[in-house]
Amino acid sequence: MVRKRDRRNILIGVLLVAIVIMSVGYAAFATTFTIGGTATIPNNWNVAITNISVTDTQGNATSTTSTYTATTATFAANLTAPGDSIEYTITVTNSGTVDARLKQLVPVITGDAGAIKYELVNAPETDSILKAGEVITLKIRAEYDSNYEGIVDPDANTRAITLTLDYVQNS
Amino acid sequence: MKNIKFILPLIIVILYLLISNIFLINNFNTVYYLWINPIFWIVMFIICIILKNKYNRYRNKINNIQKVFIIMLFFIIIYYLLGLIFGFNYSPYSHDILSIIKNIWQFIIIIFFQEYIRNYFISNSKTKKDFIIITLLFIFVGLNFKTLISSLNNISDLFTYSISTLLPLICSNILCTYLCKIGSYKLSLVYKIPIELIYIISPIFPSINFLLNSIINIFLAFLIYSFISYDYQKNNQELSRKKIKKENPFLLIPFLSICIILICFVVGVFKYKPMAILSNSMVPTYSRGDVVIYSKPNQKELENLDLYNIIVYRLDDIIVAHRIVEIEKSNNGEILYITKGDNNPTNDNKKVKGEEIIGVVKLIIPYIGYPTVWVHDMFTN
Repeated sequence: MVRKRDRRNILIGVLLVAIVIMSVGYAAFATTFTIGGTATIPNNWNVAITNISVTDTQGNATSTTSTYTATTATFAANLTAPGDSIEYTITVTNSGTVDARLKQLVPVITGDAGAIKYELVNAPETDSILKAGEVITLKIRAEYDSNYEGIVDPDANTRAITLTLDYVQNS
Repeated sequence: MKNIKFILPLIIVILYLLISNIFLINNFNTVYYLWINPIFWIVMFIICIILKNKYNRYRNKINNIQKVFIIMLFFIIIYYLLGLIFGFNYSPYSHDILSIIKNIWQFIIIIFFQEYIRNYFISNSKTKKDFIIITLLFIFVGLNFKTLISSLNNISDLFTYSISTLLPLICSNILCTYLCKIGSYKLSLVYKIPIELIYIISPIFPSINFLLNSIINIFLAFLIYSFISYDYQKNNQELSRKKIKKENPFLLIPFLSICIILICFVVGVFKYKPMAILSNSMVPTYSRGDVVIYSKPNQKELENLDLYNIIVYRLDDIIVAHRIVEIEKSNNGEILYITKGDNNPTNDNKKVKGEEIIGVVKLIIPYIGYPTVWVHDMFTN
């Protein structure tokens, strides 16, 4: 029994060394790793987008896509003429037990319809605090820019935007 | 069950859970998590010391602690190695010294007291019913009722919540109750604290899909249970020689690994991914209830796409797999694919760009998608 116990202690030592080597490796190569957004941690950390809805449309505007994950919201507006606009409302909920701070809000626009412009109408400031249990909404408006001077492609009336919300613990 | 040592603390914890979920969390959220909750568990710990544990002698305590610790270390190594496949995400937790101390106080210290109190309940309980009550109590302790209630709004949120939080919580609590019974609270601490500590101090986490994450945690609980109960039965001579060989928990590892590989396939880790067909728009090629296997195309495969290939793409809020019937160029030279369901009278409205293509259908497996279709129908009707 004692022998077995010693062998197990050696195994524990080896595994701990493996973890230390992994940590050291991470520290050494951290700059070359591709690391995505912020992780979701069960139970205590749960800041997530919980809904997207279209709250206002003008003219012939339609929404072709609206999907979301915990930290990203993607939607695409289809606008064909000046006067068309659409407004999306995104709900962010902190259901965890830790206060969160908005580190950054990154919008990435894709698509050829240069005449469609997106504007953050009501968005939280960087470093604003979302307390545990709180809910906030942000609004984004897509508008057909009548002053757009580029070439308008009649086949490309859609432009998508992906918003990434990067929340971290408020220390 | 009739003894006061069991019932009194039980009533206090139930009352506390009620008051905190109805009143405290809603009105004093930050103060509650930072002060009220930890202090309550410390007070409960003192109450349990005053009431005194019934003395239990645990056999093979150190051996069991070693075994659980070894499994946990393996788990941590495998969990992080998964990051090499799935990629990594940053931890949302702050890593300055003050925040780490705050998080240890808020999360780790509580685990210590909660497991001690669980152990107290177990040593003062007699019947199976008591163990079930204890497990249920600590499941409720771990539940975030606000999230649970908000997840009741729609079926997909409820499913996500059940899979990502509820199931692992239930499994982990069943295991903790068992570990406390077999080897005191120290054994369940060896299981619970490394996970929580890693969450607090690690700067990165593998970017794992919630389903896989949940399954891994459930398997971990199951594996620890299998090893410890096998040893317990072996040492108490509850297993025959034949059963000792047959029920060796090492035999579970290949089975669990295959399950994880299957789940990886379903969640789309590999190049090939399955999709259940919900409509008859592609009859006779495939119909509702079939499964298509599609591959994520690389740039070269996208360039080689041709007429009559079946592509998978997102159309509004659904994903469709339809055949390319025309290929045209937009004014700016971009290739647009026009698709149509074989059974549909007209082409699809959307012209699909190369970047919008999720996959190219490679294989059709009939009928095996029916369970998905039934579940989908059940919740959408």
